[in-house]
Amino acid sequence: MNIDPVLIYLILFTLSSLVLLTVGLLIAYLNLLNRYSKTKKSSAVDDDISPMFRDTEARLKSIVDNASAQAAQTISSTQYFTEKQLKIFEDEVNKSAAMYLNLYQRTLENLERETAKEIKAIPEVLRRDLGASLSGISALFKDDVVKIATEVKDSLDRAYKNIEIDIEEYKKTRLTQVDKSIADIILQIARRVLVKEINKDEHEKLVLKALEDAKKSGMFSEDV
Amino acid sequence: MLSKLIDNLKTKNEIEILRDEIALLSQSIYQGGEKNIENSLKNDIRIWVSETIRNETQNVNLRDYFNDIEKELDRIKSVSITLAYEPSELSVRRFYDFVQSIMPKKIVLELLYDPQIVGGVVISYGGRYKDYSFRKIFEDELEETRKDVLELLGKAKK
Repeated sequence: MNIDPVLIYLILFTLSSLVLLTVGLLIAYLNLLNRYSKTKKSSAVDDDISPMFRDTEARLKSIVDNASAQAAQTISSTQYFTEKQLKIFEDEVNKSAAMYLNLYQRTLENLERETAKEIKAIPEVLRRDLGASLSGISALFKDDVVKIATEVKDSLDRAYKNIEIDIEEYKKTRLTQVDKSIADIILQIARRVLVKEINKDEHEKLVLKALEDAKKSGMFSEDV
Repeated sequence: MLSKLIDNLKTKNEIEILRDEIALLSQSIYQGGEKNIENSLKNDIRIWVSETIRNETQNVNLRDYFNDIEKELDRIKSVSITLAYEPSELSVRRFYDFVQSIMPKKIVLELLYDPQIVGGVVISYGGRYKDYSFRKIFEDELEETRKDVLELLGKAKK
């Protein structure tokens, strides 16, 4: 009869597991026994300290009761305490408020005074700075303005003199033209009259008379 | 001795006409010799000038004669007279005779016409100048009476 090797291996594995499980259970049992013996010894000590424990427990109970009573009293007096505390608190708040208000007012007054000083100082500074600046600017432009004014005055004087000269020249020219016009008019009138009145013989006589005068004046002398 | 050609000259204008004629004759001689000049004397030259030249050049070299004439023309001085009218030939003769009678050398008149002088004469000779015109007389008179005339004109305007 052939047995599958795999089956054999499974059986061997199962048996090994059971052995290991049995050993484990045995160790656990021994530990449990050990713990039990130790617990049995502790129970003997508790019996010796129990009166003290009970006394302590009573005191604790008393403390808790007192605390509860005080808590109840506190709880019952909460209204009265609040009003008082509120009064104190209000007083303190009023004091603090007054103090801070006073401090605030003083600070504000100081600030106002300092600000006023600063504000008053601003125009002075500005005036001083502006004055200095204007003085500088004035000094810069003063010479130029004087120079320009002088040049303008000179130019105007020159222009005025030139205009005067031009006017004089114009007057002279116009007077000359007027004189010439008058002379021309008179000459034309005279010529018209003379052309009508003087014949060629009279012209010839005038020329001969003029030549005679020229001769007398030495115009035809040899030194020419 | 002056040639009659020169002696007969009375005006500067006549000098220029004669100068042109002499130049023409000189050119004729240059182009055709002395034989060619006869044609020019007959056709191109005034009669009194032709006759004078014939008379004065009978035994004279023509080229030299014309050169002498041209030199004489260059030496003649002129008296400038400005007239207000155009004179007659007789008037010019009288003026010339008068002036030449004064002058020791040959002169001619330079006749100018300017009606603006109105009357009288303006004489100029050798850089000298005399104004005997009516215009000058008027201007001088006007200069003296200018103020009065202007015042009169101003009153007339008002």
